[in-house]
Amino acid sequence: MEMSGMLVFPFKKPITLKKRMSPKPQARTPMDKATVKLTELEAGKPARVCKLQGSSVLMGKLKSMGIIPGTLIIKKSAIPAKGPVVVEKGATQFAVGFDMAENIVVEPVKKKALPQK
Amino acid sequence: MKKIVLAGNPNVGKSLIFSRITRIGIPTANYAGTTVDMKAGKCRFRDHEYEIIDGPGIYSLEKFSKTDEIALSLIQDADIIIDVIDSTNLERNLNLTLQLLEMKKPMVICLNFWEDTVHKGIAINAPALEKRLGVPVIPVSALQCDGIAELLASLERAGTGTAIPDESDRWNIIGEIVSSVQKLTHRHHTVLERISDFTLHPVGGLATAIVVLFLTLLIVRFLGEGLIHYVFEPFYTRLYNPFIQQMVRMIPLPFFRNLLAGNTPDPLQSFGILTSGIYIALVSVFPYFFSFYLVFGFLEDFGYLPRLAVVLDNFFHKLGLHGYSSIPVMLGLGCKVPAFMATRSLTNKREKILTMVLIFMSAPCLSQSAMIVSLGMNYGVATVISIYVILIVLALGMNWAMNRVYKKEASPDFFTEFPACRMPSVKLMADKLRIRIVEYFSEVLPMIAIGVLSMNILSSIGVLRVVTDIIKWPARNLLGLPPEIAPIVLLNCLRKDASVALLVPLKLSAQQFIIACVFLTLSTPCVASFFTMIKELGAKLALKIIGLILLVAIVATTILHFIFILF
Repeated sequence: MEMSGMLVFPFKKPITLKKRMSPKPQARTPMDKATVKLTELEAGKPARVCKLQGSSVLMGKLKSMGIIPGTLIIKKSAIPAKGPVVVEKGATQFAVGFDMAENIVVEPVKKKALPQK
Repeated sequence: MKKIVLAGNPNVGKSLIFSRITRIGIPTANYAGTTVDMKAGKCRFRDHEYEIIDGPGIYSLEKFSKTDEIALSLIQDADIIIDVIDSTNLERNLNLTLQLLEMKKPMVICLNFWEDTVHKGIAINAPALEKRLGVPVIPVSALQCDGIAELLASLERAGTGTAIPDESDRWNIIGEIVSSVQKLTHRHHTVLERISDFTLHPVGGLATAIVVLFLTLLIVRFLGEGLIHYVFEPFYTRLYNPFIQQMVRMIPLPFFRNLLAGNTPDPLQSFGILTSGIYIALVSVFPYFFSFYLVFGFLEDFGYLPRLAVVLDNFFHKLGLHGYSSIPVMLGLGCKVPAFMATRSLTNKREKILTMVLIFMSAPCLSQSAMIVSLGMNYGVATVISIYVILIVLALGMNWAMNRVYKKEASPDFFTEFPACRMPSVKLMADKLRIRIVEYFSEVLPMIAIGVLSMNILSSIGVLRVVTDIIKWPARNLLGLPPEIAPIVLLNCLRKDASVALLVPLKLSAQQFIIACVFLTLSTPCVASFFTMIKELGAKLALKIIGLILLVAIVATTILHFIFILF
């Protein structure tokens, strides 16, 4: 919960755009954590959940499945044309609708265990 | 007698454990939300007698939908809780476990899917977990029937568990517990996981959906036709019918003879209970019923349905719905009753109503479809296709309009968990198919018998003539159908397959057949789905919707009739 307070919203669009176009982000210090919406995260990339926005009841459902700030998730895929986003957390896989995914703010992480291409 | 409630996340196998304990067969499937109702059964174990209760699954003790409400009230009333956990997903399941422990009710924990942990590279130290939580923890493999006796034995030791600190810290505690009792070993992706990934891929998912839908239609059609031509039709004409005719000849009263065997040898024209009734149920409908639920059961148990729901989410958005509505709609291709019940897992009333309208209007139920296809093919495939196209266009139009007009509610977004893809167990699939077949035959024959009997009575006391007189004018002038449609419309309220079969003696033209089938599909629900609708929505709302759809049916078929006249 504390973590979310550190982040500044609304986040800047240029950062998110850059993220999408260039897969190699520049080295970042912990100070300038770039956050993106879950919808903007590249498919197949791991990320850490920063904040759940909105007051939708289903945000409560997300929380009941352990999707809380600080959790590591992987965006498995996204159905095009504003379709649902498929997310993996541990052994659980689930899909959230596009509008809901817009309200999940994540910070992309480099998976250390992941071998570099 | 102690009340034992099976509680746990959706799709952890509660219903199968219930079946194993009580020996009561209930349908199981591999997706969240298969069980939407409460099921109770009894069991004796050693000197104890227990009442076992199965309910819908929940992720936490909060209410999000009607099914959550049902589950929560069951847990409240429990004497002992069996918390069923999916061993392959300990972390997520423990969230509910800890919340249940806070209720301070006697509890045991059942680690289901134990057999899957081995090849998934998961090692759970059950005794350590038992020690940590302070309640019995029993590894169970419901599929293989392993551990059920141990689970029942542990009920005597059910405890209220050790104190768990408050909720703000819950996920940290879960993390700590999981890391202390569970060891993961690295392993490679299995074929099933690759398939799973493919079905969720943006392009792969769509491709799979198209292939699956196409294959389903193909298999249902060819298997169904094959069964009719090589098994059921020969059985009926060579064995059953001669036998029945001989038996009936021994009945002295002509009234009863006609009632049982009709007065012509053609099974689709005579309308005797034992001839037409059996012919419709067994020869015309059952082969398709069998093939459909064979394929559908496989898809259910494989875990494909939620994956299809994701691909269809965009499309359902246009109708003001979410992808998860696609599961009830698909169930509705079989029978409307379980489909209407499945709408319970949807979160709000608006979504429920829109989905029900779509279930009702988009396609006839399987029994009726079987009759429409087998009779419609006499007019050519174009006739059959037009009926379905007209129905789908009407259903989508209706949903689109209702979505526009109906006051928007804060619509919660799409959310669904994916079950792991599994190779379905042949035994479970066979069990489920058997349950569905038994249900089908126990309903279809009495309904057709009641229908034929009441038609005969109504006709002999002259009610039918009055009704026919009333319907005659609108039937002829608006729909272009002969007045004999009147009794068929009445029978339609009982069984929709039987009513379509009754169209045969009317010798309709192809255009009239299209109009009649569209009208019979939409005008009224069958009695079973009518009462399900009332149960789900309340009488007032259900009647409103049925009335509205009836109006649409009349207007649409009238327009259709005039289009046919003009062109």
